[in-house]
Amino acid sequence: MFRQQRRLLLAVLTSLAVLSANLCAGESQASGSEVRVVEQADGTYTLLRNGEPYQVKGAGYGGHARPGNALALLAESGGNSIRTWGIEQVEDVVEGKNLLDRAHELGITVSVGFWVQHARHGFDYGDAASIDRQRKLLRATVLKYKDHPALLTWGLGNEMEHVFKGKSETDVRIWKELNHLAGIIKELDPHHPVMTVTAGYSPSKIEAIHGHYPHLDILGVNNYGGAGSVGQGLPEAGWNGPYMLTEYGVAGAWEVSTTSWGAPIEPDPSTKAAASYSAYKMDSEMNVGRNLGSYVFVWGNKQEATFSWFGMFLPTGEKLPRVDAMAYAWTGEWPKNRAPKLRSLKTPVAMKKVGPGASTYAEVDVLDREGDDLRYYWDIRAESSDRKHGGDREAAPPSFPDAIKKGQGTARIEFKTPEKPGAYRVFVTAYDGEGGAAVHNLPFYVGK
Amino acid sequence: MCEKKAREMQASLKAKAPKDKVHDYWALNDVGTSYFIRGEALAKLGRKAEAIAAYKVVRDDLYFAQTWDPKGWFWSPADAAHPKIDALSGDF
Repeated sequence: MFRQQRRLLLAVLTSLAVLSANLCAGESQASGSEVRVVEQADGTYTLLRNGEPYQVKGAGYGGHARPGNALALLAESGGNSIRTWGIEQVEDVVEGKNLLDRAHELGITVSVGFWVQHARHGFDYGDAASIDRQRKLLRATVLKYKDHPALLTWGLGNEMEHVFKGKSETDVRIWKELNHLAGIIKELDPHHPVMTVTAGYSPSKIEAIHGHYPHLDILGVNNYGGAGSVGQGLPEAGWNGPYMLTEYGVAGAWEVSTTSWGAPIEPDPSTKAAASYSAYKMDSEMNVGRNLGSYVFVWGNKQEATFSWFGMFLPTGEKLPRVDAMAYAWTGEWPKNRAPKLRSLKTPVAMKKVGPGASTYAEVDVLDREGDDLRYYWDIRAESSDRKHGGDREAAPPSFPDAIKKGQGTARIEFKTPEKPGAYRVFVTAYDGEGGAAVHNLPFYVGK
Repeated sequence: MCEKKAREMQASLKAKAPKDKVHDYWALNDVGTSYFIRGEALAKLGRKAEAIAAYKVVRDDLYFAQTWDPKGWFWSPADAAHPKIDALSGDF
């Protein structure tokens, strides 16, 4: 879902020249890990990493903010792999080290994402020079990282089949180019499978893959509201090969009920935690032999519809209940100190249209299972006016701290609705002081 | 009234009906969807045990039911019931 920063293109192309002096293209080295997908006699599939079966219990390592110990927390929670979207992420310094090095130290593998450019962002799949630049960048990327022991798969593209609204989702040039790019990877690195990630799945996408993309090893599928049934639906759409669920966790803002003014109603934290747990369990238990693993979305924080919708952490780094739910899903055990449980959030203006400057209140009921002292923070924010498609980066909407008149820091506030007509949300975050939090919001509208 | 017919239809299937046959299983679809809605309503009223029981009928007994979404596709109330049951019965 994350757009690659183009500024890195020049840097990586420069490094290509250096690398090419040291490495011979096409030469295979065995110093890193060896990963392959094996088809069994009964038609099922296994991912083998250094000769051992390997089931991915992973998380998308994305977003624009993460706590300093996020990777270590993933390992503690029973996760064994992360997925990235663009190569710039691999250069991140994490917990004092390069991402790949730190991941390897923790026993975490990485599906290294290479951002295949999107036509909807203006990339022209009919322009030879652009295509050539992308190929060179991929070649440099593979040569640079192919021998790192943390590398699990090459994540070649993410939802790149999305084109402009109204146009076909099966522009064959994209699928043919993916096949060419996968061929480059296989030429340079025969030791790691190629996975390409699509937005959901459909018979037309599968048909396009069968017709134009024979080099694909693993199909990655991003799916939110229907994540638990992806494995059952893929054969109906024509895909009987190995797959991974590459983004899942909560119903998307485009899939839920809305207010009368069109604001999506965000599920509460417990519902989101249960949905993440259920999707993982359904997908992993019902599709043994085809499902090679999954990556929950997203091990970080991300503004998309709201700042709390998809992120499993607050922008300030506290874990949210979905982190604990995944620990429970991956290990069968709850963490020792869990994020608080938000039992209810109420305000008389929820889902309603109200006048400007109206006095009202909001209250929250939160349980901390360990008895930690809870601290509350309330925030009145405008509805996002920067909604994008395909997970593209969105700006955070403005906050109105002056609207809160009494009770900030406690479980009940009195506030005034803003004077300016428009859509708003009242947010509350409960912090347990032990690195855990719960956050929720309710929408309201000022005006008629 | 239609539950017996719904269960008969469920028993006659080995997988979800394909798109062009979905409406042949009208009782299964309607009753399965109704149980899901019942679960939703009971959950909103805070009647957890009854909500779980309603969701379980569709999850465990009428799991090939399909529900039309006006956005343009069928969805599975049984699949949707899984997380609902987890949310109500688990400690999330």
